[in-house]
Amino acid sequence: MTRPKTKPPIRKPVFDEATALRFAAASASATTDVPAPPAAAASPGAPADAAGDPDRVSVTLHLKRETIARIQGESARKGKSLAQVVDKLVAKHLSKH
Amino acid sequence: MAQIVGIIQVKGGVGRSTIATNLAAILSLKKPTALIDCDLPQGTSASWYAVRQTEVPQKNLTLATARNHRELVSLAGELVRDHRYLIIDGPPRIAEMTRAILVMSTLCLVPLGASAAEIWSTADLLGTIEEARRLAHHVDARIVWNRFRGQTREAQELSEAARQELGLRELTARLGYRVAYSEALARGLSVDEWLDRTAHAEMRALADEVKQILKEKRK
Repeated sequence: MTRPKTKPPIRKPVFDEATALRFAAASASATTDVPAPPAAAASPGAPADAAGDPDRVSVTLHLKRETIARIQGESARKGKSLAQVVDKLVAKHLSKH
Repeated sequence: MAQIVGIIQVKGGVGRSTIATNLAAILSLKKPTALIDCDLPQGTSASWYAVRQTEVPQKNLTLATARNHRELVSLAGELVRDHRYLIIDGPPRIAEMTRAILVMSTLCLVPLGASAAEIWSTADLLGTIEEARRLAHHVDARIVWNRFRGQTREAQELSEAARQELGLRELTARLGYRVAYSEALARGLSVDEWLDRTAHAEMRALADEVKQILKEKRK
């Protein structure tokens, strides 16, 4: 069965709907970019999820894979969540300045 | 081909709706224009349009509202077919809606007053703009100085500091601190249709500059 012949669109699309939706949706999934290590869930005293703790906010960081791997390794070694490790490292660095 | 102008800013009360409504009214004088209010339930632009319908016959200007980014993208996809300009009044937060507006717009205007609080909030927006540029190279966000008291030292110093700190391009046209903007908005009018000639000239200059930028982008 053939499709009825229609005129091809000659007007250039003003914007790419798929790109707009994809970029908009990226903010909703920002916290899932880097999965937390299994140790984080079991570790006592792990911070509450950003969504449940009003003192914490979520940010998206585009880091090198190597950096993420190092943070994950450190978080597994210490038995802390990624957020705890990053929080401490940043606080330690910023306090020097 | 339709062109989209998004008015975005993280902070509330910076003049998004003032710029959106005035720009929509002026652009619609010559070309079919749609004003999309995404700041619901506040809906300042939608309220302005409702009042305007009783004051001025609407020939070229239509209003639409969107409650989420999916609705906005779908709506804009339909409106670009029979409108020359789409003016989007964004919400006061970095949400999915603001991100969608950034990517969809031919030109994004970021209203900014010469106050530290407004400059801080714009700094928060910069990361999202950079992120959008990595995905869509056409993303063009420019500062519009609003409620600008050019004669004061503080305004001059803050605007200079913001220029260096934010690194965003800015429009030459600036809107001053004038009651005419709120008076006209409350009556469903553009400041172009109100009494203050200085405000009239400021808004015309802004609209002309926006049209010029859009014209260059069409080439």
